Parts: sequence; C-alpha cells; structure tokens
Amino acid sequence: MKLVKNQLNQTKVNLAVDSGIFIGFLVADAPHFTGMAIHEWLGIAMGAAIITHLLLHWQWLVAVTRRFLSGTSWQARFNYILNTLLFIDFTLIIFTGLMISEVALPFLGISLGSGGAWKGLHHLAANLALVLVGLHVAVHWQWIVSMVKLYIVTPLGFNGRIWPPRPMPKSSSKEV
Amino acid sequence: MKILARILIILTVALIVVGVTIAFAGNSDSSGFPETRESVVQTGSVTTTTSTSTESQAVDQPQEEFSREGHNSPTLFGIVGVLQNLVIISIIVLLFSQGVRLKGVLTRFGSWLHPLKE
Repeated sequence: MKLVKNQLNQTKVNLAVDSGIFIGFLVADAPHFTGMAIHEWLGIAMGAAIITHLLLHWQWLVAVTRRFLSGTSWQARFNYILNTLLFIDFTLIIFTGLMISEVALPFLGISLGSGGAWKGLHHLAANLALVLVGLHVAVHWQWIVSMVKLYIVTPLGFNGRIWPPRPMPKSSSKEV
Repeated sequence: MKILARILIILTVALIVVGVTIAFAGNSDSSGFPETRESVVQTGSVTTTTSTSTESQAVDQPQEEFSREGHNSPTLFGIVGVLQNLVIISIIVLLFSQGVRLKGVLTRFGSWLHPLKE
C-alpha cells in the first residue's frame, strides 16, 4: 500500500515538474512576450528544470542506456535518441544564450562580448527545440492525457464528462 | 550524495557538448565573433567608434542590440508567439499520433493479407 502511494506521489511530482517545464519552455521561447530579462533568467532556470527532469527519470535513463544496443524495443531506442537530441539542443540553447547574454550575465558582472554566429546558433537551436519538444510530447501523449484525467479532471468532479454536468440525485420522498 | 553524483554526470555530458560546439564553431569561423560585434558598434554612434575606453563600448553594445532587436521590454502582443509555439507543438503531436494510428492500421491490414498470400 505504501509502495503504491509512493508511486502515485512520484507520478504527481513528475506531472507537476513536466507541466512546469513545458509552460516555462513556451514562455521562454517568446522573448517578445516576456522581454529580454525574463527570457534570459527563465532560460537559465530551464537548465535547472531539465536537470531535475533527468534526475526524476534517472532509472529509465540508465536502464535504456545499458540495453540500447541489445534487448530493447525500437520505440525505446527512438525515445532515447530523441531525448539525447533534446538534451544536446537545450544545452546548445542555454550555452549560446549565455554567450549572447545582454541582461543576466552583465547583471552578474560578466561580459562575454560575443555575438554573430552564437546568435544564429541560438535561434537555430530554439527552432529545432520546438520540433523536438513537440515530438517528445507526442511520444508521451497517452501518459499526459491519462495523468491529466486522473489528477486534474477527475478531482475537479467532472468524472470523465465535461458537459452536460451530472444531474444531482433526487432526494427520497420519505424525507419530505 | 547519489543525487550530487548524478548532477555531476549530467553537467559533465553538457560540458562535453559545449566543448564540441566550441571546437566546431572555432574551426568554422574563429575570427567572426568579435568583428561582427565591432561592426555593429562602428555603424552605430560616433562616440563609440572614437572612444578608446572598453567600458563605454561595453555599455553602448547592449544599447545597440536592444534598439536593433526591439524586444527588450515585454509586450502583450508577444503572446501571439506563445500561441504560435503551442499550435506548432499541437500539429506535431497530431501528426505523430495519426502516424502511429496509421501504422497500426497498416500492420493489421498486413497481417490480414498474409493468410491470403499463403
């Protein structure tokens, strides 16, 4: 019973962290909406969020790495390659973002004085991240839908139906 | 301790990626970065080009970038960018899920054909 409860809590944590990362990515990828300061600080925070995400899924990471060349399905291999590309891409985004930083690093007293190619690479990596994040969400879509139904839709009382709402039970005639 | 070790592993892999990036970027265009920045500064204000102080150049450079980029301050219209990204991700999810479904249908159709071929 305790093991099941721990697993459910772990799932809730995963859902919360993953939702935060997704929303953070959407917002950070729109500097016109956030402004440069929030864009840069949010981008740096995404690095910590991704490390947290990897730590939460560490066991899967180790297991598939060990079995990558033998004894695993093509779906797991595809997922592993996709996640590897995603990690590389986000590393590039954060690194190139730091290299062209105009607010965050100067605020900390660091001036790198770079631009040009790093900016181009930053934009390219950001556009690629959009596609890779889309594929990542697509691969885990069933899990996302199930968890949202379980932890968000059902606790709100919809019980699998949004409209029409379930009618209230009629009171018994004896009570009247 | 275990978590710290895992974080160090992740950061080590990230540093390897960064190192490879710097190596590739350095080989492809090693002299491009400072020239680009300086050309932006030189086409800007006259005081920047004539100034010999590095501090004034460093102060002027971000201002030049802000005026060219135009997204220093947040705007509400920027939410269109967020929605655009959401739409792109939704399309990718839709295409992927339909592709998986189509693959399932084709696999079932293929297995249905096999008895006829034999």
